Amino acid sequence: MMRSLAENPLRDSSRSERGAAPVVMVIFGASGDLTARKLVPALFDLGCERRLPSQFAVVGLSRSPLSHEAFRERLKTGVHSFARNDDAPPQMWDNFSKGIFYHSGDLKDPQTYEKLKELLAQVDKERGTAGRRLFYLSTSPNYFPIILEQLSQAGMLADPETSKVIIEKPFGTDLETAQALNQKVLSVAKERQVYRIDHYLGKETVQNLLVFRFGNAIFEPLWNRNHLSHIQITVSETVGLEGRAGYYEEAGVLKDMVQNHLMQLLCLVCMEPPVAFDAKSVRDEKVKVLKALRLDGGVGGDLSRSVVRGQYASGWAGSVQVPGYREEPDVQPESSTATYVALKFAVDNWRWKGVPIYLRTGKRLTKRVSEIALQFKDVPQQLFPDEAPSPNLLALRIQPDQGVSLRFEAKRPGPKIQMQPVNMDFRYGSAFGMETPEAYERLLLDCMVGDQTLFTRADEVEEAWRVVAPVLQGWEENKVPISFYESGSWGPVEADRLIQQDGFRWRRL
Amino acid sequence: MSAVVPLSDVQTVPVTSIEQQLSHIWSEAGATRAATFNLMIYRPEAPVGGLDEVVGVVTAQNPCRAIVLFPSEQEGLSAQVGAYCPASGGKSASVCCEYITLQVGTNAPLGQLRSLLLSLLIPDLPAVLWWDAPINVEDPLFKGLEDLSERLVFDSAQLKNPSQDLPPLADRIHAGSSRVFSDLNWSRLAPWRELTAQAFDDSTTREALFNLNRIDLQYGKQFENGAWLYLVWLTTRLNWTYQGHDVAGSGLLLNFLNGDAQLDVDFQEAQTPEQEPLSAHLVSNQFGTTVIRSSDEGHHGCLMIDMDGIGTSQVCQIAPADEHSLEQLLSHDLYTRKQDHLWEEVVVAMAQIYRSLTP
Repeated sequence: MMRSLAENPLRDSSRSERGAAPVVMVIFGASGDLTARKLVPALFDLGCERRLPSQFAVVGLSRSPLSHEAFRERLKTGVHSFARNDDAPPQMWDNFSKGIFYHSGDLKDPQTYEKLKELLAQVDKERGTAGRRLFYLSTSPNYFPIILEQLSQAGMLADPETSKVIIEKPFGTDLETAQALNQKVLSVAKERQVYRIDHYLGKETVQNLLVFRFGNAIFEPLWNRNHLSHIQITVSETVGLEGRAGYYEEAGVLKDMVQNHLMQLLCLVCMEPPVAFDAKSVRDEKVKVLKALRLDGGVGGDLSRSVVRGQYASGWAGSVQVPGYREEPDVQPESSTATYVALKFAVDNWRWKGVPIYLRTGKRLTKRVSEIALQFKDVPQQLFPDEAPSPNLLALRIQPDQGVSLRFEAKRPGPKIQMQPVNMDFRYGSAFGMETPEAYERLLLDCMVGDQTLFTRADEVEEAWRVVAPVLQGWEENKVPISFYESGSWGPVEADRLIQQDGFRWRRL
Repeated sequence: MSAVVPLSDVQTVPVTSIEQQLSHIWSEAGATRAATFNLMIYRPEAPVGGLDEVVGVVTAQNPCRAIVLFPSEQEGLSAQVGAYCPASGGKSASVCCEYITLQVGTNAPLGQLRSLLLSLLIPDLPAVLWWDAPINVEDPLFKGLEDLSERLVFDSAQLKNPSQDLPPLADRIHAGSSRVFSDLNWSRLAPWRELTAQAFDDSTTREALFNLNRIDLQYGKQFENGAWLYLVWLTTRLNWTYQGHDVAGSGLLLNFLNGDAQLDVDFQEAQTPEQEPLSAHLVSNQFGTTVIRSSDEGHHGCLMIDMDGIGTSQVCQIAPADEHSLEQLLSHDLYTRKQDHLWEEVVVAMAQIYRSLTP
């Protein structure tokens, strides 16, 4: 597909040289929230920016019978609510919706796939999509193996040039299931056909991290064990369960956030500069970090020295009183699902040996904020009597207001030498008042043009599961007790002890 | 609703006190100053009622120190100073930009103006000149301001006499100027170019592109220069060489050659009352016709491609023509820092054609 675009002389130097070739996107689980809230609005926005190919179509597939028209109508509401271009001229939707179709069937029934093939052939004829397919698996993960098997049996994954598969997280529920799923996927498709999506990687702010690290010469020489004392990565949410007990009771914070999003952030912070900005080079470096990564429980590997497991109790969300996790609808009264975790990691390589990396994430915390903080070592010698300078700190704010801040010591005006920490703070999120594309827009377009850089690779997923496996096991065996924390706080006090044992403190965000 | 809100009242100050007044504003305010470049704007007339709305939108999206210059009947140079913050953030939550207006009296020495501007440009940040007026490359004021800038933004749609005004600019580009040029008219054309390119992404439709026999171009009166840009873009991309022209009705019949193949272009001002900006029929006798034009509903902000008889299906694609507002065009140009070599190639080729059209 990339080659054919390169042969279009009108594309040369055109602003939108990332345009994709004709394709049909088949969304399994199309009646779900993701399709209406994220996928189709993202596609519509791509269309409004002339980044969708002229010959493009969407086929939604789900169990319930629905006409093409009824499906389009349902999606129209989602586009008006969630698309960035919700004020686009009406004929934009009229034209876009002509390429939307619906197919119902039982995912276990081979006939569903035979009929799907017929529909796709018809779409090819009407829409000029030329036999290219993008299969998006947005169902419960339980259905992934059967869908892949049936697609393969129907011959719809045979050609790696014209067929691709996007698989939503969670990719497996532990190392074993992730390996099994990878085996299944790779038994029916080549790795280059597979796009394991983690929408965090599509965020503008996360991509900024790469630019910050590798687009500036001044930071890299400091980005190592010689200058840094530790790293803190925080992803905190203020929301609670929001009616997703069915999913969350099973997943919990580790599978929902740590194994995927936080691991990705950690990789981007700790990776070596890739030799090129292409999928293989970038992902190779991320996998190297994961292979060197382990929980740091000190001598003897004491889990309680490296893991804190928490669950929110009742408290406050802003000015609203909120229930505790166990009081949420559809949650077991004695549920041991963790809604908070704090972890201490070590990376055993030349760059990071001896630099602890602390991760924390949870629901119903004080603020919604995602940040990576790199604290520098203390000055080697204290020159100024009676003044103990605070260590320098570089903070990369990912959300809600992306920016960078650098803390350093300055002299207060006056006859004596008195120091005060000051922040050099640039919030480029508010400085540039431009609307940034949604993560799914970037990722769907990347998939259409065949760029896997922002998708996770098979070995990457498995290594991430390997890293958290001891935590999962520890929790299964109840080696780490649940620590309750009040909603609206910064988490359990045990998390404070986790970092204080090393002489550090969590940043107050 | 305005894109920005004032951080402070705009003050008229002596030109020697501009920086002092700005320091005063930042020391009193709770907001943070931000500037990623210097933006000099020349306008032929004073903005009405304070901050120009377009400048407000642009600076909200592209933090900068904005210096607006316009001619004045008064003597010498006079200045007004203010700061503005994006309306969405309000004063306290936002980073805010500086706004300086300079009224340039008819007797104001150019040297004084240059010296003043040099002192006002924030060090280490690029300087962009947006010349929001017809360009005359011999105008001393234009030359003086252009010399201070690393990037010149203009709108070729404003050129009073493009066939005379564009070639000297093209000559500079051809001679290898280090300055970056941006033509807002080229950005305005982006939806047509992108949609045209999109029409031929697929290999089954691309044969039509390589086997064109004729192009019929109609343009609205205000869009003539844009139509030229579009035509020359298309022909340079396809390696068609201009051979000559004939007069055809109220327009032109242009002849191009590529090897042995001949291409005729019927270039006409639209006679219809609606006067859509541009409509292009790309005709291949063998493979059918591709039409790019505004959608049937007229100027509601959409373009469409219609490919009849090409490949196995009729394709009709609609996309928004959304970059027509000046602030969006300018914001995009400022956001894109790179030299647009494609535009340069097109303008140089256009200049050659213009020269041959001029007796």
